[in-house]
Amino acid sequence: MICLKTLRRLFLATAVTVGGMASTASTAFAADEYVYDLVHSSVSFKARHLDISWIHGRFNEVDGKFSIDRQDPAKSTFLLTIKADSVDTANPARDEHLRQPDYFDTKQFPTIEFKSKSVKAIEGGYEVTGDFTMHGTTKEITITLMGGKEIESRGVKRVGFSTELKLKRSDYNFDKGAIGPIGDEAIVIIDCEGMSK
Amino acid sequence: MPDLLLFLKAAVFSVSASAVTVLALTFCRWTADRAINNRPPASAVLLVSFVPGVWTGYWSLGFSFQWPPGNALARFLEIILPAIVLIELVASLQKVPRAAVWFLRTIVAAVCGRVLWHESVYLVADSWSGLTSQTALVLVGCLLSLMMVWLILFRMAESAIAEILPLGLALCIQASGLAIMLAGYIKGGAAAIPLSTSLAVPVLMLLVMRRQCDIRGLLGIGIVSLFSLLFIGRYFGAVSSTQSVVIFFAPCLAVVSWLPIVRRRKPAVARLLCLALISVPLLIVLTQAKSAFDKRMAPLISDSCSSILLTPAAIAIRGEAQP
Repeated sequence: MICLKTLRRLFLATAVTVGGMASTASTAFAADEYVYDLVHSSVSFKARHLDISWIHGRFNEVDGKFSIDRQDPAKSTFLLTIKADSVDTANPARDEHLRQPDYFDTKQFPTIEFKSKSVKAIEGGYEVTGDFTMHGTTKEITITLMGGKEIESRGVKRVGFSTELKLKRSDYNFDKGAIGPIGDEAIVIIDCEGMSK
Repeated sequence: MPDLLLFLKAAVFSVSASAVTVLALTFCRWTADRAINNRPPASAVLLVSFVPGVWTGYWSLGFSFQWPPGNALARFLEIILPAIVLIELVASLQKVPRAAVWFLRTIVAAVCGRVLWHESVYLVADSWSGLTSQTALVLVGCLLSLMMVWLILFRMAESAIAEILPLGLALCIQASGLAIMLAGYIKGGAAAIPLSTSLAVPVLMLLVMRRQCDIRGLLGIGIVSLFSLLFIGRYFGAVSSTQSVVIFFAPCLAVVSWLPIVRRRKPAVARLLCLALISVPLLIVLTQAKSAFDKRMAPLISDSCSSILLTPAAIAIRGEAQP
């Protein structure tokens, strides 16, 4: 009986030690994980109108998560999911039209996604190559994420990134008839802040 | 704003292709024998001439076809439309049992909605069929409505006003196209143009040539096309359920031809009466759709506002700068 008790204690002690070691290891070496902070971030875009001015808009519902491995940046990952239905150009009629199949076709393609495949550290940020999926078409793109500085505010670790990318709507299978008065090229501006879990 | 010149071009191309095919098939003979029964049957002429009309229309509209089809409209044009044309061609062969033909038609009616919804927000990922009880119920309702209209029109295809039915369907398809456009889906609405012209032209030509024909094959194609366009307009565009239901059931108003007061009249008068009656709900729906468009969308195409609806041709007509 005593022998059984001793064995149980020994097992518990071993389990606690191994568990503790594992948690220490994860703190020291694993990447820091962050979730997209919708309140302090924005995904906006602008496109030429009649080649004389710009129309601005934004997506109000965005989700994402990223992990940053500062020791080995190649192990970092970035994932951003935009709800196409949340398009907002400050004109409800135009937003309704943009949701239709002539443009974003949000009932068929509800999300716009970026999923990183490789990450490289550069001065002042990261160069991220990944799959960008919009309107049912996936293309590999490389974006330059500037920032990455981490601060702690009210017990929450925060990290911020900014990037700007140019996309051609014709590359993403948008209806050619809808490309004309609105320029083919759109500039997407992403300013995002991540909070550690 | 829709590109009217492009739509006109598509209609002209579609009409021309259908008309040339009807003429070519009507005057061709299987062999050197000059007997009248040596010509292709009129029902086959109707079905075969539909195909070049539709294809030429879509080609002139600039539609491109990719496989696999990426959206509901492409799935209709690349899967459902060829399937129903093939089934109706098979059905036009006298040797094929009617039960087999109706079995195939029922399959098309049953899968039509599911195919159009494929990979859309209406389906859920964690189910084999992608359907929830609510969406399954919608599809059952669609199947029953489709089969009901199909059976009613087929029953009327044996009456004196038979030839008017494809024309009524062509009117409804064109009305559905306009309703879809007025709701903001321009390409979806434009898709109705080649369909309606290719349905109407062969029937009109055979009527002018006074050739008797079985229009049931063309009716099947027209009913499935009308259903699919309205389904796309309702679930992917912004056409309302009421508008869709009214347009879809409008061809059934031709049942007035069964009333003794209509049956007693000359066939030409009865046909015109039926066509006029079918047009009434369509006009009401389109008036309502236009007024909704004026309220919602017109500010976007007014001179004072920046517009995403203007196409280059429309801008050229208005004399504004080209982008």
